[in-house]
Amino acid sequence: MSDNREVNSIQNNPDPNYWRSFEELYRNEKTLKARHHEFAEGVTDDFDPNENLSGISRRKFLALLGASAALAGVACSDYRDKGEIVPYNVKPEEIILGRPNFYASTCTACANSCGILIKTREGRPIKVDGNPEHPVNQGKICAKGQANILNLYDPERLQQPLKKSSTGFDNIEWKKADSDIIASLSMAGSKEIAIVTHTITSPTFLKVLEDFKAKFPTTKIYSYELFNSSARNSAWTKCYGSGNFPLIKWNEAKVILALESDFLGVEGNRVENSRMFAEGRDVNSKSFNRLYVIESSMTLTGMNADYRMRLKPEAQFAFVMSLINELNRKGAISASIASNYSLDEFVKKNNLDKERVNHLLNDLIANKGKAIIHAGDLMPENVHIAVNILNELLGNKNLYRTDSASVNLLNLSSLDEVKELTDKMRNNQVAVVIHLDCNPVYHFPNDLNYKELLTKVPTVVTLTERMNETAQFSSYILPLNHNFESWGDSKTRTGVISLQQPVIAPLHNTRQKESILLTWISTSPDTYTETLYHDFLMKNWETNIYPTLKSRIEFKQLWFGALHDGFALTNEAGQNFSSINLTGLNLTETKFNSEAMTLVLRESYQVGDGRFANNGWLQELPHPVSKITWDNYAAISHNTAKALDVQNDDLVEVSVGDRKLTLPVFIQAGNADNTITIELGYGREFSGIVASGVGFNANTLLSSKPEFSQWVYTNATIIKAGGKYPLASTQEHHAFDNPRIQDLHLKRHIIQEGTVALYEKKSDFIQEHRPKELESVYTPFQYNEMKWGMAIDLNKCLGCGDCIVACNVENNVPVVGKDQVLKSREMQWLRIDRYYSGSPDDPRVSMQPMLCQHCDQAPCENVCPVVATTHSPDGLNQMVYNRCVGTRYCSNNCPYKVRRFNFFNFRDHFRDGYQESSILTLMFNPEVTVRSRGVMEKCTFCVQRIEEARSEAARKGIPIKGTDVKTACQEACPTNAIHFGDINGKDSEFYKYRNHELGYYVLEELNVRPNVTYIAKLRNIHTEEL
Amino acid sequence: MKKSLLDYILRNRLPLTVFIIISSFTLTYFVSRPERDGVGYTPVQPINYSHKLHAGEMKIDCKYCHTNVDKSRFAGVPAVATCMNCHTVARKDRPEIIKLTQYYRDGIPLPWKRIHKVPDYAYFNHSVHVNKGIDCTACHGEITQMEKVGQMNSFTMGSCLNCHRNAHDKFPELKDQIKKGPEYCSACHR
Amino acid sequence: MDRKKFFLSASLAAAGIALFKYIPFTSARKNFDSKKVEVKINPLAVSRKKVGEKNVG
Repeated sequence: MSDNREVNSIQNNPDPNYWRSFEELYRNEKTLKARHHEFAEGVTDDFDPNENLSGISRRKFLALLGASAALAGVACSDYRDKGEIVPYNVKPEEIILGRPNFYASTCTACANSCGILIKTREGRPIKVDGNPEHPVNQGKICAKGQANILNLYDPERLQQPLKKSSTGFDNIEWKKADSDIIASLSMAGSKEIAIVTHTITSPTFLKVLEDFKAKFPTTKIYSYELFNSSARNSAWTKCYGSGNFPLIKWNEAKVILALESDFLGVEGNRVENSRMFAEGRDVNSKSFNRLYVIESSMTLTGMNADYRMRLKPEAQFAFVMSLINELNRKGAISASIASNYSLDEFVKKNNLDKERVNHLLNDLIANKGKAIIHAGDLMPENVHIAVNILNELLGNKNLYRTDSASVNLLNLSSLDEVKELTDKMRNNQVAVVIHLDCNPVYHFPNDLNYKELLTKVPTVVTLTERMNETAQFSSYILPLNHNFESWGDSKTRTGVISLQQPVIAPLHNTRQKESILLTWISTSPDTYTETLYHDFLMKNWETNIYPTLKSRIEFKQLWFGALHDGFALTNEAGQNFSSINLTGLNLTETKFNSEAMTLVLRESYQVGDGRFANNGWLQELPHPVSKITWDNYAAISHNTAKALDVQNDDLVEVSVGDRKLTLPVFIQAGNADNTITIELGYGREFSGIVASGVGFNANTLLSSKPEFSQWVYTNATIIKAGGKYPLASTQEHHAFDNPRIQDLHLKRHIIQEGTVALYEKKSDFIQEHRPKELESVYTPFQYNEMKWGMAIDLNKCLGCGDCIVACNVENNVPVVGKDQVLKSREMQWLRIDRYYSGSPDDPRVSMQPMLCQHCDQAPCENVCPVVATTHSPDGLNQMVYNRCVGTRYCSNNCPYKVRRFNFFNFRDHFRDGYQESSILTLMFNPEVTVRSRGVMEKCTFCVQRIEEARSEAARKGIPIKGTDVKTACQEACPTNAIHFGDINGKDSEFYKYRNHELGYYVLEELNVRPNVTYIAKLRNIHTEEL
Repeated sequence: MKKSLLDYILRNRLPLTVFIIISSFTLTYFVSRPERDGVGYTPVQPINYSHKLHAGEMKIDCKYCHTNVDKSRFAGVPAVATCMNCHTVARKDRPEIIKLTQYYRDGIPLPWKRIHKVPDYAYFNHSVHVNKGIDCTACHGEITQMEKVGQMNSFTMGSCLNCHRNAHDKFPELKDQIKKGPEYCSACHR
Repeated sequence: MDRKKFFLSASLAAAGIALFKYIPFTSARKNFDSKKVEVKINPLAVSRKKVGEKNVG
């Protein structure tokens, strides 16, 4: 009480001058009481020191922490563990780990059978190049041959024999398939056994077929090609008695007139043609041929013409006849067969340039015996006959090669013979149809109804590497070995017989088509062994071929020597040509209407007749003329487009009779008016994930009863179909110029050109335009020792794109797919820029391969925040992938825009990770890093080859020379337009080009000091100005 | 109350924690560097092969087994068949040799534990070094004294460059044969 | 701020991101890997070490 009172007295009777609240002032009971408690009421109600606390004490917590750390440390493996290193059990003696082996073989991607050298590492083929010793292709192969290696490792190759069932296809054992098929063959009786195949180029395979025919007498062989020289063959038979037309000495021709002939692009052995043609245009020997091209659509050959004129294909016959008449009138030749043709009228009627035609006439007259007129395979027989007559009258038979002639082992079947087959199929006269690695359901004209007729044949067997349209409708699908897994031989020329050897044992459960047939001939499935065809081949060589070679060494030595070389030379006489038998030659005119639409169907530069549709590299290779990837299109001239009121990417419907096709349109500069050009080989079905949905199948427009020619239809129509379809072209991506400014490439001196006449008068005219001393902020580095440089001769560059595919293979460049190409993200390190100048009707075309220029003062090097790109003391701009963080500042600074950025892991992105499948990892070049997402890449001047040459030189103890290294693009270029070497190597070929008076650099005025010298293109025209 | 707790965490605890983390990391990084690079890593191999016996006492040349070292980028490890060159007869009753012969008979390649590995983005070339006269022991240590092979060098880019830059000091006897080793990136990084 | 709710939503977000990145990468992919492929050199083939060499005249 007294406390209370005390408390009361101090606290309850506070100094009246200091109070904290009214409650206190007025002595509120509750307030005064509350002062005794630390916390307000109810606040600490849920606080229980023993509750809400973790069950783990601090001590326990620390103990747990330590224990788990220790456990983690123990459980993890040794962080220093570097895995295992596993050598061979028994090392094959030919392998030196890290060094490649080369195997000579023959490419069977098309009927040209070029000799190849396959580079293998540890038993895996990784790169294909031409065989330098092979007399036909002399070390070069085309883009399709380069990309063929992807077909070997294609994850979608057939790996097991298949038999048709109600639900699709089931796996079947080889033994079972063989015995079933042998039974069907043996029970064929009097009914026909039809074998359908592409061109037969192998003499030994022909022998197998003959044995097959002997065993099964009702066998008939039908060989076909979608694009063939049948018109030329029949013309030659009529003219000279034999269908074997000659090869041309393109390198000795001073004047070449190509009539609808794409001899540099798709006709004949284009690799050989290109090499020989380029030999005739040399800035060092100062000899230049003159190329006249008269065609309906812009082709690779047309892009390289000195004089080009547009003419519809059906007018070519009248043109040749008019030429004959005019030359006769001028007294240059003596011929009366063309008396009712007038060149003047023709020129007027078809709007040809009078001056150019006059130049042509004068050149043909002045170069009798040194000129050649060549008509393309698409042309009908009468054009070829007329051209033969003209060539003979002008004495141009001089340029027919007599040292070597093409050899035809088995004539292709005519359309009539194929029709006979379909008739027999319709009448149930065919028991078995065997498709040997061909695709008639896709290739044959639809009106033959081949697909439906196949259902009437009891047994349809398709031998193929991958699923295709024909295999889809077969009873048995037997998977074949790839070219690189097969034995074989090939004879396409006199004088040489090529050998094919496998560089790898079959990757899957596949067999060679020859072995399969041999098994069937023996009627016992057990006959098959892996070396069945090898033994047959060797036997055939020993008995039939070796005696003809008249060799001085015994057979076994010759055999192994021939396998090593890839071919054996035979001593065969060439070919001679008598005179044309003019009597009996019925030259019928073809009527044409210049107002009607003409449809021209051509072979694709990228996928051939369609057989490479599943090859991503080829699909992504830009078309040499239009630079379009992943699609085909209807190419029309810009006048025709205006008349139709269509723009690029609009859909149009092209029809011939009742056959229709809707596809996008592309306005092609330099196309003849009222002509539609479509490339075949697209619109494939059942052909793999890469090919599906790509392009449009224009084979539906083919007819089995063509009036003019199998590939040219003069009664076509085209209407606007409405809708758009984006075409992925790479050309517009790298343009930095304002499209309103024409000829910017000339104004900026990116393309510098001249004429032969100007060069002869004033040889340093290019040097005049080059900028004089350019000042520099830095002191330039003195390159006194080896410095790498490249020179590209634009006179020889045809724009074919073989270099691009070779670079892709060598450097593990990924395929990105159409959607990424549309965003200009294609990953090719090398591109060929194509510029037009002049009018859209009659453009002049310039090509320029563009790659990293390895600038001495590279603008990309000083902006990298992580120093991922630097310069080496031998002149290379280096790219260090592991440092790159993906800033992309370097690409921003590059004036040439040659740096490619991995926006995605494209291998993972394209087609659901198709390129990530483990079998494709076998194809990578082990010397080149496989880049992933976020890393910048660009041409490295094949630094892996440079370092390999360096190590070789160190091994031999000699200094490295500029000629030791050949870049992949240089190796692949069929015309040898690319030169690479040491700029300080004074006695090298490259030095001549580096310091050539026609040499210039692109965008030199920027003072980045590029190291790729471009030799200016000289057009061989009659004036000094272009 | 909550505000001051967060404030306390950010102004007091956080910098302190960060400082402790960074300093302990830095210290252990440098102290453990050689070990992390693998110096001294001497794993147990599937077969107890002794270089000391073969290369040291019997004086078999390195190149008898590691044949590719002067021809290619990779030195390589000998195939089982190379061992069997001698061991079909030599000491064929010893337990390790019996293990070896078993591998050979079964056709299984021997999975040796890898000791020397440079990252994949560095393309090291043995033949250039060997052909210039540099001895194996310069980088791999005294193999001829090792019962079990261990990694004697850190094989970091720094150690490679150190030798490249001071080649004449490291190899005075090769002064006439070798220049400075390459310092530019693409010699190894491509 | 509710600390529990913060951590819950943060971890849910992380799990969601991980899940959505995982789904397109594994389930929507066609498996191109078939059975193991063996690389074997054909013993009857003849190789060479250099590019430009000829054996038989």
